[in-house]
Amino acid sequence: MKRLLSLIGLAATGCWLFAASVTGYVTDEQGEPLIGAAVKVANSTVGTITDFDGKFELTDILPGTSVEVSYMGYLPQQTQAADGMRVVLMEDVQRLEDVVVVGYGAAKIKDLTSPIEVVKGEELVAIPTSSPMSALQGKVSGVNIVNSGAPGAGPLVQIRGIGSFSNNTPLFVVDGMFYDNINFLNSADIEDMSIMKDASAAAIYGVRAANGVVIITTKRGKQNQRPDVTYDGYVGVQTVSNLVPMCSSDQYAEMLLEVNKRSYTRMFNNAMKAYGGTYDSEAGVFHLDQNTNWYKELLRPAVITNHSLSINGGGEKATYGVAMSYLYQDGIMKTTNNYNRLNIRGNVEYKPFTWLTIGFNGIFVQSNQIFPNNAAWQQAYNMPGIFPVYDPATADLYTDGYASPLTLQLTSNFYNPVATAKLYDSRNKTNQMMAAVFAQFNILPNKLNIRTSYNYDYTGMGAYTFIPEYYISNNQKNETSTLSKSTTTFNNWIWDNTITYSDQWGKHGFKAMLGLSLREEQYRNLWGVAQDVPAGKDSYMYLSLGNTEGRTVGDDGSRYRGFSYFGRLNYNYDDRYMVMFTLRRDGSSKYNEKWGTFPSVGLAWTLSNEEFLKGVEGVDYLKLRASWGLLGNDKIGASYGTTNSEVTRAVFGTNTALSGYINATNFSWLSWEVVNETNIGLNYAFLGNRLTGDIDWYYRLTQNAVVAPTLPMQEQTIAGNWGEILNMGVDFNINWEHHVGKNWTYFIGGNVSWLHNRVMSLRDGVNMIKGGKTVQKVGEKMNSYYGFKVIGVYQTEEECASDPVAVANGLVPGDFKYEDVNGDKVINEADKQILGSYIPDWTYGINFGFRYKGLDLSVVLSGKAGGKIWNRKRALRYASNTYNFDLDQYNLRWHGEGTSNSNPSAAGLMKSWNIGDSQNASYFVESGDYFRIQNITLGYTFTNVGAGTYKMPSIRMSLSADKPFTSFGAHAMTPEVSDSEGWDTEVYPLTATWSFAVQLKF
Amino acid sequence: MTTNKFSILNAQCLILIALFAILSGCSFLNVDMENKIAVSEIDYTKTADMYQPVIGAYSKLRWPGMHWVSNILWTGRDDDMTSGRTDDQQDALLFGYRGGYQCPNSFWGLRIAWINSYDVIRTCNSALEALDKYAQHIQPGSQDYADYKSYRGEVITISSWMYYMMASSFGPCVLLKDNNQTRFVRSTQQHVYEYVIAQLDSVIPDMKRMRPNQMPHQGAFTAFSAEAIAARFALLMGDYAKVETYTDDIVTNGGFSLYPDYYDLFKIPGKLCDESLMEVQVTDFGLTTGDYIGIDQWYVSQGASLKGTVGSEQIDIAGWNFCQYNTRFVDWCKARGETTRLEVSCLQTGDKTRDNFTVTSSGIFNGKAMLPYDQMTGGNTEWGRNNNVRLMRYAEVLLMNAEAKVRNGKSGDAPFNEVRTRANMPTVNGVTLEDILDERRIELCSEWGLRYTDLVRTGKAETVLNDPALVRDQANGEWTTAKAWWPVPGDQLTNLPDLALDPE
Repeated sequence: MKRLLSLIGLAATGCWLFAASVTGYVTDEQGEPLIGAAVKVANSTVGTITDFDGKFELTDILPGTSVEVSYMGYLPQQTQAADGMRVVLMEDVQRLEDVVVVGYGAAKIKDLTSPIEVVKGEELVAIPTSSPMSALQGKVSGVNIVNSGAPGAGPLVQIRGIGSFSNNTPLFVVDGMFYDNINFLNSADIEDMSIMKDASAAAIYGVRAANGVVIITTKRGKQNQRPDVTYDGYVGVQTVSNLVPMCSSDQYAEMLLEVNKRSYTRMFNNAMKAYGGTYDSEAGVFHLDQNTNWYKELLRPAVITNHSLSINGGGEKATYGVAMSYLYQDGIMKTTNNYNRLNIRGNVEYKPFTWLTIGFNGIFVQSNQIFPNNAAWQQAYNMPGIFPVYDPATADLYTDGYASPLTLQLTSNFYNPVATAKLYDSRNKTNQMMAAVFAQFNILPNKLNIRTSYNYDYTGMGAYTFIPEYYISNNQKNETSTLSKSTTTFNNWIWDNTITYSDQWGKHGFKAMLGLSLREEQYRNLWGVAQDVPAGKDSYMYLSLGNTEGRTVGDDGSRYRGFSYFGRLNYNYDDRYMVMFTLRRDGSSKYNEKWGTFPSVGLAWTLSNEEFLKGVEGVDYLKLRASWGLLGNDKIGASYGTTNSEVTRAVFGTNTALSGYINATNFSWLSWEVVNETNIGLNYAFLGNRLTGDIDWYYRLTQNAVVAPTLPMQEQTIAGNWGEILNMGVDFNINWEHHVGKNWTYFIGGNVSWLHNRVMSLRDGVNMIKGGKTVQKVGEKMNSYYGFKVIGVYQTEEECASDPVAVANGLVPGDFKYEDVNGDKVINEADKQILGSYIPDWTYGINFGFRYKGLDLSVVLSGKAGGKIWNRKRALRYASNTYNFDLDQYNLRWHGEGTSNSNPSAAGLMKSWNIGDSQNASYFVESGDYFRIQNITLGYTFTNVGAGTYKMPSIRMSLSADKPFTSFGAHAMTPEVSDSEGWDTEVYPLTATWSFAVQLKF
Repeated sequence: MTTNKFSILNAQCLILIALFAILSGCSFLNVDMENKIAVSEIDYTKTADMYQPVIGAYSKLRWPGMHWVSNILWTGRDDDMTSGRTDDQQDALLFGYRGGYQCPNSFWGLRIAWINSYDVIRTCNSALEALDKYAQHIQPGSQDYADYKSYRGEVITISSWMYYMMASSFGPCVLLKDNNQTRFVRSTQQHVYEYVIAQLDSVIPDMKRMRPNQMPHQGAFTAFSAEAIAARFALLMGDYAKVETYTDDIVTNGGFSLYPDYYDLFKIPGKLCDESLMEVQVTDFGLTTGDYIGIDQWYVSQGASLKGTVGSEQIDIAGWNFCQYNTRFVDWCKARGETTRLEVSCLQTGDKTRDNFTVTSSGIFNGKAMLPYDQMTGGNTEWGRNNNVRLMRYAEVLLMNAEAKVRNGKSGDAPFNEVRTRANMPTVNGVTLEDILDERRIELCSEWGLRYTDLVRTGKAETVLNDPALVRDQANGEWTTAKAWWPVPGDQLTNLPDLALDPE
């Protein structure tokens, strides 16, 4: 074959030369050698790569033969072979030639008709997080990421708003396998991530695609690649970034005495007696010696470290990749809570024949997570500082010498937060295995191939929670130790079969793909609870060691199957007009209605390739895109269209229980939700490719959204495909990058997303549905808070006397004045209103930095605006009058006419009118806006570091500060609340991480 | 090589085509729902299972029919009791004299009281449907058929109990006659009373005429349980002839008797005693921990802090401190010369219990809900664990009987004095209506808000509940007839516009 090609080359050039060796070198525009550039004889598989000096040698080749030179990030070039040739590659600033994974195939960026954001693994690798998605915060427009500081906890990820009342998790496709998250992956294992934002890109995943799709490709070797050995590692310290300042013991005493001196003096006298202090009877002020800062007692700096080693390479017929990594993250809660993970990955591809490629890909993950008891965070907020963590005086009465709230007669709802944190042991051990095999039949090389792949995932989780026997108070005790244990397994498989054909006839480019996919998801859970299991050793954690009597067990499971066929058609005319059609037909065992069809179409017009724009100064690239498609969401409850019978027991006589049943009186007939999305966008590059970016407008309407209004006069809800949700928005990216001379580059860029989220309709005749925490109301944002709006604080007795509402409810100055929405001079349920939602209107990111020779600096800023959080920490005050106050509740309180028109008096903070759990006063709604310095990284890269004859390609060292500073107004530890409805309670504080990272390439 | 390629292509295509053919034809997508039994799969010909839906109804009555927050609202309405706590659940106080009967319709507990009652009623309706399906496979006249009729009676007794709680707290309420009902206009109290009595009358003849503790399903409701509920409704209606008829039957033919010890009546030994007409039963199977069929926080919510010493060990028992009496009630009892009933009912700070535990939390707590330490299984100190909830006692039947007799111009002395004698109180001759109402006040204190219903039905509420001597901590208004019954929960009004219509 080689000879045949050479002969053709010979004939074409008309020269007569002997086949010989050709050497040359490849550089960039600045003359720097490009290492590892591919040099290939056109239309053949013959080729080589450049060495450290950018040099290459092609043997057995006729000069004048057409060769292709390509290098990642540079525009490929076709030229004629000549000995001593020099090839200068131009940088592909817009990465138009980069290939992105698009689901059952790949496409060049220049051919895309939809907004697909590609994130390279190297952008994630040095950011100290346990989950790769956490590192994307602030980097990608249209993707809302809410991080958590708990060790091993993954972020909440929402792509283009939230379009379902049931489930908003995007689909993660890891090398072909479907996942709900990628918290198990190591950032260093990721080659790239494609985030498919619009319907035309995602529709190929049909009924799974409605919440957006993120396709992750793990690293692998390339053909003819020398072994690339890379070590990535970092070590960092996490510290809490923000605290809520609380009242000191003296301030707390001042507040309570202000409310009722007679009733509360006793408590502080007791505190004084027990822990010291003085009472200034003249001023009526206590000076207490004990002043515990419960938050500080619960916090510590914590370490995070990650080490990854990988080897990728390939020869003529085989490529391989092997990697191993270890992550350890300690929690900042001052007790045992941490996460560690071992990832092992390997893949191999082999071409036994020119027409066949086979391969195996495996990822094995073992992780151990020790959970914190987040209840302690709320307790630290509620507990006044008047008693200590440990009390030697009562050490023999209470477990481990903890101070008991009983000592000060604090009973109901008072806990020693440190004891809560420590007397708790909850762990989860996960073993996950993903294995995939594939075979690809290259029937016509580069034109027609058939691929079949089988992906299997097994995830096994063993979890236990052990609560030892302890006694801290009447309220905080556990009479017998309790062990709850569970085993959960997931067995999922997908079998994909595709046939792909692509061809080019002159200016007509054509590509078609047809596929067939089968999948099954199986979930099993078995659990048991036993009492009186001995404490002290991990090896005791067996139900069998507990009481045989009273042990309880249970289990559950589910099994779903899917059967789909799909196709995609791409047509490209002259790189100017692009069309893409996709269609997926999905069958699902989850529903009575089994089959659904999900079509999409995308159009693109590269204006800059038109005659009228060619040569226009300053305009380098301009592409207009439009797309439409339907997507499904089957992450909602299954429906078999039947009522079910609940097994229950009732007691008849001593120690006798009989089993019976309760027949459900109604049932849901459900189907998947459908997202109908239109997207219009523009990609641009101006001013010599220095200014690049894109802008997209989208209109996503979720139809058949599953809503579950409560049935008349019952707690039971009935779910049906009745709702409509709109997410409309704009994603905008702009970047400026300038290479000033050879060594100096600077860049600045930003992204901003605007989102308009509205509930468009619920069930006929239903205007609002109340859930546990929030409501859904037509015309408002999803998950809105609903309650009385505070419009002021009563200032004077006269004001109270003249207001019938104040008279009827016995209000006094310092109490809230609520808006009387219907003006009937009565405040009741009818006066509640929408008070905001956690969903932000704006998310943005800014990045800038420079590179000077080996030195680089990058800064990422990010923020959100327009969302609200519910300060449940404060709202829980309804449970006890004597809970502590945060410092602003003290500083800003009403204490006389004109002192405050937004904060109640100390007495008001104890009155159900202001703080009652049914009032939901807007006082508890706080701004979720924040601005953050997301990341600052300063690095230096040494290249070709020599050690004798051996030269290391590169060593990079960097220092980074991750999330070092966050500014926000809410009285919270973090404006990022892990609860998807924005309830701020028991939230693990977010951390700032200071780390040092090294990357070594051997 | 070329031929090779194409044969591979052909083979692959064939496989694909075969796959399509096999899989689209076969049942790959037909997967059964795991871990669920479809109602359609219940075999109604298996009449041996016929009691199972009835068990479902009893189970629902226990939970969530008996919710602690409903209890603090039900019992906290009269002049003797309040919901107790001034910190947590302050809003519950607004349902009693301390909060001036504001009854905010946004309080979550109000919604619970409404919804959970209908949950029980709905379950009863579906149990009746299931029973009727079994009946299609039973010969009329057979023993199975008699059982079927009797089971229907049990279910209707359960729903009638729930209707009583609805009608005596919300006043007008919705009659959920059928689970497919789409109209939810409330019925007037009169219509509710008439409907429930008619329902009960229709099943009483089919029900077993014995005490619940004699039933094959021990503690199941009997004809006398049904009659006792019917008597309560008749009392609300002021139909004293009916009250007399129902209660006479119970007194004469029921074989009930008062449990001699008023203290143990409410404790473990009094479970399903001969005084019991209706009880919600629980069991811990004799185990300290583990499997327990109980009632959530029903008793825990009523619990006070007790401290005592058993052997050398100091024992602390704690609850949530809800449901408290006021001192005025204690004073009133003392003035009457009450001993046993006062001691059993009211646990005041510093009081010693019979087993020498000291009440440490401040207030006067519901002693009927207290279990002594030695009756707690294996030392599990959860309040009231393993104790049944007494729904109706023979003492109440006797007092209803006495009232009916007096109202009907007869002597109520005999039933009245039976109750007093057990309580170690001197007998009374020529008992008056006032005597009986006072007797009910002490004998039935803390039970279901019966005192409040008495005050309303006798027209005394306005004076008694607005007594200036009652201490209000929130100066907000008085009791008026307009506030006699609770408002419909706010969210129910929003969801169901029918509820805003006038009762019919």
